[in-house]
Amino acid sequence: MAKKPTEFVEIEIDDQLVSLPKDQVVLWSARALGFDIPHFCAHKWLEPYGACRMCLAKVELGGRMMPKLQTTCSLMPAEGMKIWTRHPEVIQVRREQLEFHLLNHPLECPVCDKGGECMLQDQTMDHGMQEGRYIEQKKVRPDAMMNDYIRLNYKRCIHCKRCVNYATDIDGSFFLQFVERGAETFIESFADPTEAPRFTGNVIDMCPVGALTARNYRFKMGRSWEQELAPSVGSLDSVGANIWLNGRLGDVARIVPRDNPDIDNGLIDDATRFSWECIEDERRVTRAILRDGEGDGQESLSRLKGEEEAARRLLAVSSEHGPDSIGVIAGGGLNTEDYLALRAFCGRVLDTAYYHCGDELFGPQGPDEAAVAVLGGRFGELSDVLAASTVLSLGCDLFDEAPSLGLRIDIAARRGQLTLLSARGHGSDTDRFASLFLNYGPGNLLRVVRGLTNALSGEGEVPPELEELAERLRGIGDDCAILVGQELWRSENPLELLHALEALRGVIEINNPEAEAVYLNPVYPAANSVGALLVNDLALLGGSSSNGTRPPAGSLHAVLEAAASGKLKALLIVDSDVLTCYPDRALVERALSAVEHVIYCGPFATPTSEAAHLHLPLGTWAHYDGTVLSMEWRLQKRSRASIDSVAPSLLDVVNSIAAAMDCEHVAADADELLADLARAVPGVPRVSLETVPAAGVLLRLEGLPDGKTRIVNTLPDVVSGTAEFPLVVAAKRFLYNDRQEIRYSRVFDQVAKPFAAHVHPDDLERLGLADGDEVALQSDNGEELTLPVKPARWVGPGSVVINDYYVKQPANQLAGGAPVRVALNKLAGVRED
Amino acid sequence: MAKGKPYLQNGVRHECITPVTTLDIEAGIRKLADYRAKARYVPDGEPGGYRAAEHVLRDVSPEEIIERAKTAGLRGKGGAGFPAGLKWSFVPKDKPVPRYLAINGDEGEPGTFKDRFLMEDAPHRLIEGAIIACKSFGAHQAYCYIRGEFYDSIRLLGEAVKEAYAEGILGDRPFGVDYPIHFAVHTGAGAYICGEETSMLSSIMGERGHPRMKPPFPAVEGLWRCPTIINNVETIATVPAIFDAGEDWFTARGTERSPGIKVVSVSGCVRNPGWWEIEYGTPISTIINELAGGLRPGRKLKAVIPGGSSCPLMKPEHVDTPFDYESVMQAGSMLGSAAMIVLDDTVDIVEVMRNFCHFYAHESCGKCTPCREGTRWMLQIHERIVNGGGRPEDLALLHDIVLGIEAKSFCPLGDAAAWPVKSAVERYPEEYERYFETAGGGGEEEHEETMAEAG
Repeated sequence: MAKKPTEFVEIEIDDQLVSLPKDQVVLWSARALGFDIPHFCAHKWLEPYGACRMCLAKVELGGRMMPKLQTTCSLMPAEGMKIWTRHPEVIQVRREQLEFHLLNHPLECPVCDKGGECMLQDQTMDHGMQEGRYIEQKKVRPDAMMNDYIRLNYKRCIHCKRCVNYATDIDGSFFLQFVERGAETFIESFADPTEAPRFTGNVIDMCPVGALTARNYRFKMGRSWEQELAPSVGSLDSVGANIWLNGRLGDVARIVPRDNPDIDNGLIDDATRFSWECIEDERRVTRAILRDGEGDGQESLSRLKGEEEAARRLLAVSSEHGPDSIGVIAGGGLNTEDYLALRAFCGRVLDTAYYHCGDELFGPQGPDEAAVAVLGGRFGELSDVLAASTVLSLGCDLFDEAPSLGLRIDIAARRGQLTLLSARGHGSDTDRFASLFLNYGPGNLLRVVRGLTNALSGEGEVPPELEELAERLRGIGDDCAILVGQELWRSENPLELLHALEALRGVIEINNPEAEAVYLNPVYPAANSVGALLVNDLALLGGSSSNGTRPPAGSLHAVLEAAASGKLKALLIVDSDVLTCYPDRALVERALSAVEHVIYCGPFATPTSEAAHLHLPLGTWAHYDGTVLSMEWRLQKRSRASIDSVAPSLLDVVNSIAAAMDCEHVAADADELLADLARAVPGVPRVSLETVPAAGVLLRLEGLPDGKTRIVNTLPDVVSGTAEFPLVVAAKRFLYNDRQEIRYSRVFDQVAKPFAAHVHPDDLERLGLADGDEVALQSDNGEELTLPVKPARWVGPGSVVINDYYVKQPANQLAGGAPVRVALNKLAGVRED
Repeated sequence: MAKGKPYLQNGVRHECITPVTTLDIEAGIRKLADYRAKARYVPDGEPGGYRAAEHVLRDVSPEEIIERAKTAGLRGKGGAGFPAGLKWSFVPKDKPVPRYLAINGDEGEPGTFKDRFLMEDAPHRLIEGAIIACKSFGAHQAYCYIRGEFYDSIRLLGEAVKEAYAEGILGDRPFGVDYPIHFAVHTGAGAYICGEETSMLSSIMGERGHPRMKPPFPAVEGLWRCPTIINNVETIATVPAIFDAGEDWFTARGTERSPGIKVVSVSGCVRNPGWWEIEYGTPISTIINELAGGLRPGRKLKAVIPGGSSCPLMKPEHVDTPFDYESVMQAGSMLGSAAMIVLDDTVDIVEVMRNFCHFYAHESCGKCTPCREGTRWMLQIHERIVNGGGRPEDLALLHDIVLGIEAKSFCPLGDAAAWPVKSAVERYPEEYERYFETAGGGGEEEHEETMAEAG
């Protein structure tokens, strides 16, 4: 259902008349109004539990005093209710209950990591007795690790059960459980060793005391009040989850959620939470590296020397070969201003149209008006998606691609607040509460989308397996959101698919006239894919080029093709591991070897940077201020962390190169670039880095073209294995892969490795393979990967799922965009990983 | 009474006894054939079991069943004494979901031994009651939750259920009537908390035995979020008599507000411990002296715990209190499960309390803070006192702890742990003070002897 207005009820709290939302328990509403009711076990994510007894209040209903004090965490407001939260009787109860809480709690606040942000400490200051009356033996138990990230200090645990309820009802991993009974109860970890943890870190925030602490934070980063907080945004996915980046004494201390109810509701994934380690990893590139000519020789240069060297080479190329002789590629995780700076740099300094920002969203042939209009204008806000009665997830593993959003949808589906329909080339945990799940096998997304469209429009062929799903889409009668993910970007022809998806969205709309809206929300491959899209395809999105910038010559494919064909003489690659990530690896290899100069600019070494002649240092997202655009086109600021280490922004780098090339600087600062953008594109508000609101600002483009979508109802053939190559490969985005943020954060070293080839147990048995066997995946185009196999029921028979980003065994070695079939051959010997 | 139960063989029949549920035991009826041929609903009634259930299934409407149970004033016999007919009427009529009857045979309350004999020796009476109760609120499935230690109850009731299925008394068409009734025996693992109704539901569903938040009450959302009525074994076993002999027969017995009959189980320092079916309102002294054989010669009464270990101790001056909910409440205690524990002057109240505290600390489920921490603390204090480390301020401390648990714990287990200690501290302070004066307390040998007698 679409968002509904809240109904209010008038009640009296502490003799004041207040109006509270009708459908929320008194505790939260009262606290929001400033009535400080203490609580330990209640949490906004959880169902009322009523165990800590701290939130008891005196309640009168219908003129009659309730005989016992009531827990406000479970009390729904009713007309005429009266509540007293500061009554002497209530205060007395808090003192009593607090004494019970403190019986076995150690007096070690001065050395506890939670000190200063501990709910028990706060309450003890408010209500605690000055002296303890407990002279008996306290309960003791040694600490233990709950999983790779979390350590439990048993002595501090007050048995509020928040974490256990979280593991049961919120992330559903059941990794924490109570063992034993009564006062002997303790929390034990039952983490599945074969599954990488996804959302476990949230229990650290939930823990009202210092019992659950992060391994890489405890006893290292000191007191919470000494930390300086920088508001930022999760950089591993396109959800735009809000985070605080805490710094202390010049170091990064930790990442904690910056609860934004419209986006993440405080739920963030473990990868985002712990990936701060990479920011100051000693492997980060801080000086320029020159790899030239003979052998493995490399030379370390200062940053400025490196930039001068880059300028020298670029100048040589452009003066010798004229305009359009240099290609520029940027990854999807940079700031919007970085892309703007790069675009200006290409136009005004390098004079080249061969540039591309972010991942290739539309496939080799590039975008057209209609597809850009779909991305720019058919999506809903995340709060709209969550308020829709039906979510259709297509080719998208939300837990891995958009974890915060995925978990919120998962919770809503479990609680019956929305119906989740899911279809993908393989199964996953994400579908555990889907009311319908369809595994159509890798490479068949276009067939499914067109088949569903045909079923709903009544024209053309409908594969029988789609009937049920189509039936569910016919009578929604309310808002619906289509989420589409990695299988779209990874498909052979994303452009065609975007047209097909828009057609599907259209027929769902026609079939559900009662719906206010049917949204099409793509889950983008990177944190700022939308920013990159905006800069690449400014003209198609209704913007006008200005200030000497040039529209791009084509897609990423066009840049690489031009390089491979010899048209380009130099490539500047900014923070993009194209060699491992671009679907057509052979093309990238040809491009890298064909050009005279490959200049890489990025914070970390990657296979691509190692193939470059010159590596220039660049700050990470935490090193300089900037803005990113999330999947709902929300412009949000990533602030520089409060740290000592200094690294250049991309604007610094291009300005410095421009200066060394005797050109005018690209822009004075990021604000100038943002102002240019606001001038160029109608609908982009005028903001500066200082004025971006804390919760971000939603972009709604005003000059979108009315591109006409192609409606095609012929279905492509089913992609399936052959006798010789029986398994179809799906290269899947996993939460843990070799992305820089994961690879260079040591906390992840033991998590989720080794990356495996996931095969259905039946297939495994048929092929005579066992769990952990080292196999060669031999493709029909003659390439080969070596991976251990792992049986997985969520993989459909006839397919094999591999990690799409594995530096040692890159998935793109097998594929060139088209579906790949492989045979598995067992290898002798032991793997060296 | 029942054969093979030596401590019951000497039970003295008295004119105040109006057996209802005990009739089958008297007659030695466990088999279905015997029950159908010989069982009587009331002492002077016509023989023939399952007559009431068949009649109700065929001819009585659900509304009428509830009305008749209300008229009879049938009160729940698990402890709280909530009117059963009223409870049945709470099930929402409009929800198109299954409804369940859950019969509580956990019987964990120390001192209580009544449901166990009913399940073992009068299993068909329980099944018959379940059929009637199911029909009253539209349930087709009954569960009987029996604690794991009651091996015989599980086995014998299980056999009776099997027989009833074979004879078409349970199943899809009981007595040929198109009203399916299924009956499942569910065994617990022997946790006191699972006798609390919502914990029992969690346990039946295979979850950890923790009490659940009310509301929603089980009658609205119970087993698998469907309406569920929870009744004690004895309550259900009493139902058939009402529907055969009539409500008037029932209301003619007992007191006005507690009509009918109740099984009491008497233990402790009496000569003839056992269980009897009495009318509500029989004086406690009559139960002790005439049924349980009185105290041993030369002993003086020190305290009576009228309703199982969770009830406050009653001083000897209240021994003539009529045994019904209201009178016992007025005398400062509770009728509870009517498991009377009699303590004479050889008993050390502090030691009894240490024993109770040990029980409650062990059985506290650990969900809510006051019960989890308070029971353990009270146990530690009692152990310290008994071991000679008592301090005069412990009395006030114990009283404070009790106040912190009482009415503040999540479920009644906290109250159950607090009340006996509260009454001991308030009514028998001299027992504690004796320990404070003479380190180690007095009369170790005497005490051991008493405990052996009390069984």
